[in-house]
Amino acid sequence: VDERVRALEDVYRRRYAGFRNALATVTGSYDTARDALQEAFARALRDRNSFRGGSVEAWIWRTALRAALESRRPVRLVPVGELPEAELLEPEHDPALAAALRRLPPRRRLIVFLRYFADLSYSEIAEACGVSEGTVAATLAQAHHALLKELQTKEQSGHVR
Amino acid sequence: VDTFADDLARRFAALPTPTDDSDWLDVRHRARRGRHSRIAVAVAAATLVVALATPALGLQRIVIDWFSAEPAPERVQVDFDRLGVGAPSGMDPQVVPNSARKVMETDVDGQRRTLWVAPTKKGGYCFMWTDFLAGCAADPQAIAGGSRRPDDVRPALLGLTWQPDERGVLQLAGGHLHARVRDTDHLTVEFADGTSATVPFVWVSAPIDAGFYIYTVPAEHRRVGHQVTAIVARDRDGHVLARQMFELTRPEDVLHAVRLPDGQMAEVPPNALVERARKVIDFESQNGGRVTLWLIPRQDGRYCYAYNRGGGCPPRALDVTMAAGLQGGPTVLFSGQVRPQVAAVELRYEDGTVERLKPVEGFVLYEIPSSHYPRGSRLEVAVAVDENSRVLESQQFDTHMFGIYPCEKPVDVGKGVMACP
Repeated sequence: VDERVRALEDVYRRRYAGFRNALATVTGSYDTARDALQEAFARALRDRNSFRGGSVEAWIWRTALRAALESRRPVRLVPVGELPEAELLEPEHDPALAAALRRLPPRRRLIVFLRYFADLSYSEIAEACGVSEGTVAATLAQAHHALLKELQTKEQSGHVR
Repeated sequence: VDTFADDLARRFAALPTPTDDSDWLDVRHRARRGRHSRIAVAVAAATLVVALATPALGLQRIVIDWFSAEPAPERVQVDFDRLGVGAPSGMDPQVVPNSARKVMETDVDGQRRTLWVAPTKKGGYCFMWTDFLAGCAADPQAIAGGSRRPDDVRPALLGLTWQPDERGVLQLAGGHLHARVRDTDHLTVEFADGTSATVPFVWVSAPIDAGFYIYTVPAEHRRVGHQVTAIVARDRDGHVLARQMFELTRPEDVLHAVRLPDGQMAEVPPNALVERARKVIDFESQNGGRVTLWLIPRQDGRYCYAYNRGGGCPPRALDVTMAAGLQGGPTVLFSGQVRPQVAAVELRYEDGTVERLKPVEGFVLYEIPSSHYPRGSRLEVAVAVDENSRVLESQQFDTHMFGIYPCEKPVDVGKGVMACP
């Protein structure tokens, strides 16, 4: 078996839960996220010879994201650069966090999900989103500040929107 | 903000998510659907079907690439996961169930069987033949079992499970070859009539790095005089790397079932004097029945014993001061054998209670009172003392072992296994 199959299986086994959880915030359900992820890895297996280096994780994420977006109706091809809206699936479990995340701009919100749900590194997020690592770091720093401020306000007042 | 990042990570981690429903096999199937021209090759690589019972294939050693083997379905992973449930401390093989793979399929005694293998966290492996044999070499550094017979050669490297008849005539053998005999080129069985046969085996590549085989003994070799006497691993030059011998049970030691005077069944050898069996311990159980230990003499001066939940025919002298155990069921029995110098056996419970048993002809048999069933009051240690109350031997009991003490409603003790806690 070629090394790329092994590498893909390794990524699958290590990253499955994180990718599925992060994708679910985009597709709206774990079922559709799972389907998109399975399809993404299948595509990656078929097209492994077209992989030209870089982070396998980021490559898979881009493929999975495209598969997830294409699974939406109506069917349309979505450029990877077009970042989708992401939402917590069960906001009632942490309503303060859900409310704070909703207030973030879409790009910042997706990067937060990629960092904390998909467990991607800064460089992987950069590659997946087509931005520099510095941009990822700056975006996350801005997101942290905004979330911290939002959460402190909400939790001090005991009010959740 | 740095600590806030940690806090954020914790909050995300605490959010509910579904259990692991990953399925690499499904990924591979999906990939193949879009690549028809490669299907034949992919399937051939994923599953190796070997007719082990028919060496006509001409193959003796087949190497399987672990990473090409098909991942095991969830039901098999669950079976592997359960191997550690209830294992005594330090005995959990620590299987990595979601890495289990299908190694091969073969016919065994007319039934199709699949060999599944899973790695362990210690660098070893466990294997299971569907609804059949299972075994582990969980820690490749810890190989137990030295040579038992003069003709044995490193028998522990030939991990073996076998199924003999009551005379010890082998019907079926299966097992694994340790990495230290990875140079094995031929695996053979030798018969009492001087003939031998080749046993095909598969060698699974790293990280498993072990061989596996199963052998159904042909009908003509399932009789005394023609039975399997040894299984031998040899290298390419014919040097013996490992050998395990099989001996017939001596005719006088072949056990058969007899009925004792009170209707209890016991397995005894032909020289047991069943008509001279006598009750050594007898009392009424908490549930109204009787608990009885019988002593059955043998013509050679040895004896057998039998009680409601067990029995045996020990060697002439007990090689330890005390050998005791707990048998669970509707009630819990404490049973044991002690050497003559043991004057009493003290049962010490978690709640501080102590009970003192007096051995009868070297035996103790006692029903644990139901008040000692709950956790916090269970038997913790049995202590053998001499007539001056000096401690000769003590034996610890795991008070958290499940399935021993009865309960009203079994609970899930892990991985879906239901038992009394």
